[in-house]
Amino acid sequence: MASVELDGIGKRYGSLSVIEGLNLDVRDGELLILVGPSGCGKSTLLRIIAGLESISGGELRIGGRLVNEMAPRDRNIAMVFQSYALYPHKTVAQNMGFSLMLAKRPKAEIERKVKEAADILNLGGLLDRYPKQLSGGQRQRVAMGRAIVRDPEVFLFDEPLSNLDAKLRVQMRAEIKALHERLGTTMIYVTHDQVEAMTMADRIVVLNRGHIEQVGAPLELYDRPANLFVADFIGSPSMNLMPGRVEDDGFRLDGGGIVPLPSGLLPTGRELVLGIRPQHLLPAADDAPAALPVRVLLQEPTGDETFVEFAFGSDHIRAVFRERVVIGSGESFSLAFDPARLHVFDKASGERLSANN
Amino acid sequence: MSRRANPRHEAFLDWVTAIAVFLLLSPIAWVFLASVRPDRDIMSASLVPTSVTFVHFLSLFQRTDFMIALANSLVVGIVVALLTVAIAVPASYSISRFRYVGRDVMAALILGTQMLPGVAVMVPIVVIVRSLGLTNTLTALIFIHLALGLPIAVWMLRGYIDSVPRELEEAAMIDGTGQIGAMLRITFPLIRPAVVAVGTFAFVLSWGEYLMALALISKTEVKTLPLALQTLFDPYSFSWGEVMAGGVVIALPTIVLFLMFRNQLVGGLTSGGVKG
Ligand SMILES: Nc1ncnc2c1ncn2[C@@H]1O[C@H](COP(=O)(O)OP(=O)(O)OP(=O)(O)O)[C@@H](O)[C@H]1O
Ligand SMILES: [Mg+2]
Repeated sequence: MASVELDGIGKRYGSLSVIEGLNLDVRDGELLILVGPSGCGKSTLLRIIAGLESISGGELRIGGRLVNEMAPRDRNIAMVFQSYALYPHKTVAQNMGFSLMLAKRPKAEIERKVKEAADILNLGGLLDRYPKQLSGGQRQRVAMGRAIVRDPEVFLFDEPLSNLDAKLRVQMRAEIKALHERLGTTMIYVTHDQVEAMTMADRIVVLNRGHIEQVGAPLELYDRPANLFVADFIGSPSMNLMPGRVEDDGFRLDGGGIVPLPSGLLPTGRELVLGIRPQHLLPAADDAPAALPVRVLLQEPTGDETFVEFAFGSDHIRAVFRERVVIGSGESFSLAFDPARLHVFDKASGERLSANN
Repeated sequence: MSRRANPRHEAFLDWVTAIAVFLLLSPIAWVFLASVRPDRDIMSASLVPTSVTFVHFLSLFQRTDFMIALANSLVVGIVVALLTVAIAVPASYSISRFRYVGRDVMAALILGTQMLPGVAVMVPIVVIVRSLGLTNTLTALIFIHLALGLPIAVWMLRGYIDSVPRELEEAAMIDGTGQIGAMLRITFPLIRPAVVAVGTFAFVLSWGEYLMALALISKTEVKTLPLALQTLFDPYSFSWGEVMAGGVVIALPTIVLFLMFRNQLVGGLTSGGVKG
């Protein structure tokens, strides 16, 4: 077990700067998840920690040791690749035992450790097979097994579940989380999948174009996104973000609609962006005072939820209703919300305003 | 496009294949048959031998010049095959895996040498070999055969190494190997069929090479098989059967090598290591 400290880490490919001045402390034993749009540098960051990419600037410490120039094999880390990267010419047992074999461990010990890992991952009957004789899920397990056998100080995962079908992904998600609880080893995990990030992480790091937008516990990111990028990125469907400014009669959106607000809640005259999650909009009771008059554009019932898109002035507002609502397209509708659920951002900087909690 | 869609096309293609195979095989078959027939039998129109004899092989193997040539060809061929592999593997690995200044230019140059017809470079080569004082040596022949086969060998291997995902080596380097270790333990076993193919190819190329040998070698002690075969056309004591037996001896290793490494040559990479 070890902490991982990134201190002003930068990465350039020629003149292209992919990561710049990145600071991050991964605590000993935590499961840290990196999320962010495609191409934001998640894999690059992971590969820097693994030692597969050189560092252009800054300092990297694993367990307190400076490892900038250290070869991957000396860093005592294990990595699970998105493609699994199993050795095609080696059996499952040989794949899993490869690192121990290279470390010249006694045969009996290798066999014992491989078997232990195989038991944890339900790979018992497959040890003599070759990777091509395995299903996608089994290959994924072998890749995990290969990492576990090493008993590393840090696990690195690069989208390990993205090649699996939805059902298997849910299952493996739970297994990785259980594994983390069981081993207590530091894990750094890259994913595209919001649900994966929200359900598994101790802390989430939101990356954007090579820098960190926010670090925090999953619910912290959900409840208090630090800026517009995180607000938009975390949560599905994503938050309604409506630019406008406070006027006498409420919050006037650039799209023309007016959101009634208790006066004094927000500074007047400033360019702001109002955010509210689709889940926090409700059908308003007929006599509700602060309702938004909207028009239905589109609705998609999924069975236990109904996704509805509304027009509000020239803005589009998305809402997700838990209960079934029967409304026709083009009809007028009234939306209610709890002002405490509002998020407010400065339009120019994109930063969250502290005015409303 | 379904193959079964048009049986007439399929039958047509089968016939084309059959004709091609026949055209390729009939001279070789003729050589093999002729080598075991009595001399007076060979020129008869019939393909079926009336009697089978090995006198041609016996008299061939009793000629010291032929046996020396056989040994020379084996030595040159084996050394060329080994050196080709020893040079082409690291060279192609470097081109495929590393980025450095001049890499693409070098790769293009290597391929570019293949565009020159052999005859065009023959004169300069002969001049160079002469000025080095290496005429009538096997060393010169080894170097030239190496130069003839290496470019293709490098390009063949490069394609194979490109197809081995970089991540396999990276996984190995995390598991505890260095860069060289990853190459030897992961990539090398995976491209072994191609390495065998390249070695075989280099041997066969050297074994049958005639033009450069003719230009550089005149002494009996250093002649290779193709040259020795030519001396069999002795205007005073000439035997078709012996010439044919010589042809068989030249053709045999190619066929044996192919049969031995057939699986390696046609077998691709073992798949399944990485998804997709
Ligand atoms: N070898 C390279 N040379 C030049 N640019 C590169 C190289 N590798 C990556 N990049 C660039 O670095 C950026 C970050 O890439 P990276 O693979 O880390 O993204 P990612 O966040 O993992 O994306 P994804 O979610 O699609 O996997 C991208 O813009 C990519 O084009
Ligand atoms: Mg990636």
